[in-house]
Amino acid sequence: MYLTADSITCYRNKQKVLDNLSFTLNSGDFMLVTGNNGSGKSTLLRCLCNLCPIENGEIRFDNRMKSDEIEDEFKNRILYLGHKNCINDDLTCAENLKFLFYIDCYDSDTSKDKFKDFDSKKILSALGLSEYSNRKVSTLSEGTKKKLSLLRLWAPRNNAIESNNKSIWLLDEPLNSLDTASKKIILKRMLSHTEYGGIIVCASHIEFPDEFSFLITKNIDLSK
Amino acid sequence: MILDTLKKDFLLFYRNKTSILLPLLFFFLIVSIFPLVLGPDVNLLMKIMPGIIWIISILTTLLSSHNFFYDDLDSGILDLYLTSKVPLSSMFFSKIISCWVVTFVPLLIFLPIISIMYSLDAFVLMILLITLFVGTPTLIGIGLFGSLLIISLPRNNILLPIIILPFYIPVLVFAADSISIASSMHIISPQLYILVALLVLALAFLPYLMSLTLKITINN
Repeated sequence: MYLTADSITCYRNKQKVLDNLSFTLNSGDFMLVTGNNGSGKSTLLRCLCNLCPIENGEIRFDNRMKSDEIEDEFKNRILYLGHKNCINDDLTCAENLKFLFYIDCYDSDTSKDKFKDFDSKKILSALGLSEYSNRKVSTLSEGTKKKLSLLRLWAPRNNAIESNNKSIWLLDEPLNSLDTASKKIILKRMLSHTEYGGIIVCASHIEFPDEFSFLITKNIDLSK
Repeated sequence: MILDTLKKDFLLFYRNKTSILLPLLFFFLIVSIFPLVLGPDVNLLMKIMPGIIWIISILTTLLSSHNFFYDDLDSGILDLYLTSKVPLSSMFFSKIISCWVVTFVPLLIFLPIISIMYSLDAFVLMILLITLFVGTPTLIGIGLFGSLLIISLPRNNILLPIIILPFYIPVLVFAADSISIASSMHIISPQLYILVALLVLALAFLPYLMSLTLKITINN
C-alpha cells in the first residue's frame, strides 16, 4: 500500500499555500509535517482527505488517481483527525464516543447491530477517561476533550492493528494540550499502527520525545 | 442511519431545551399580540388569523434554521461526515425531520388553544392544521438548505431570509388559497394536494442538494 502526492499545488483565499509538493509514503511510513503557522500543514492534510481542492498535481493511492469512482475506497482507507475535536458539548463522553465510532465505522451493510455490545468504558480507559464516562463534555478541560477525540484511533476499523481499513492516519496537531503520559500512549498507538503496516501523516509543532523520534521516517518542512 | 441520527438529534434537543421553547414562545407571543392591536372585531380576526399563523410560521422557520448547522461546523462534525462513508442525503433528511418535529409539532399541538382567541371555525382550523402539517416541513427543508449555503460566510444574518423567502412563496400561496376556499365554501381544495406534492418534492430532492452544497461549501 502506498500514498503518493505528485506536484500538488493548492490555493486558499487566492494565496498559494502548497507549491509543487511531492512525496511517496509506503506501508509503515510516518511523515512528520512541520512548518510555521500558516505554512499549509493543515491544508496539506485536508487536501489528502479531499476536504480541500488541489489546483494542480494529483494524489494517488496504490498508483490509482483519486477520483469520484474510488472515493468510497479512499474514505475506507483514510482517517482524518483535524484540529477540531468533532465532539458535542451537550453529550456525555460515552455518548460522544459511540457517535464517533458509529460514524467512523459506518458501512451501509454492516453497521446496524455493530454497536449493540459497545463497551464505552473499556475504550475510555485507554486514555484514563473511564471515570468521565457519564460526564457532559462541556464540563471537561480542553486536554480531556482532546483525549476523547483521539480515542477514535481505537475504533475497530480505524487502525491497521485490528483491521485493514483506515490504515492511513492524517493527524493534525494530535499532541496539543495533552499531558506527558497521554502523549506517550498516543505515540505508542502510532507506533503499533505503523508496525502493522499503517501510514501516518502527522502535522505537529510539538517535538517528539527522544524515545519516539525513531518513529519518523520522513519529514517535510513547509516553511522552506 | 436515519433513525440513529434522529435519536442523537432528539437527545441533543432534550439536553438543550431552549431550542424547543424559544420558537414556541416566539410563536405564541406574536400570535397573541395581534388581537391586542386589532381589537375585539371577531370577523376581522377570523379572516386574518390563518394568514397571521402562516407568516409567523415562516418567521419561526427562519429562527430555527438560521445557524442550525453552525455547531456541527464549529466542532468539525461536518468534516467528519464528509470524510466518512455516512450517506449524507439520509443524514440531511433526518436533520429536516428532527428540526421540523422540534419546531412545529409543539406548535401544531397548541394551535387549537390559540384558535379560541381568534374564534376560528372548527373546519377552517382543521384545514389550517393540515396545511401547516404538510407545508412547514417544506419550509424547514428550504430553510436548512439556505443555512447550509451561507454557513461559511461571515456576518450572514440578513442573507438567509433574502435567499430563502422567495422560495417560500409557492407554499404560502397554495396554503393561503386552500384556507380561504375552506372558509368560504367549506370544502377541501385541490391546492392542498399541491402542497403535498411540494412536500414530496422537497423531501426527495433537498437532502441530495444539501449533500452537494456541503461538499462545495466545506471545500471552499
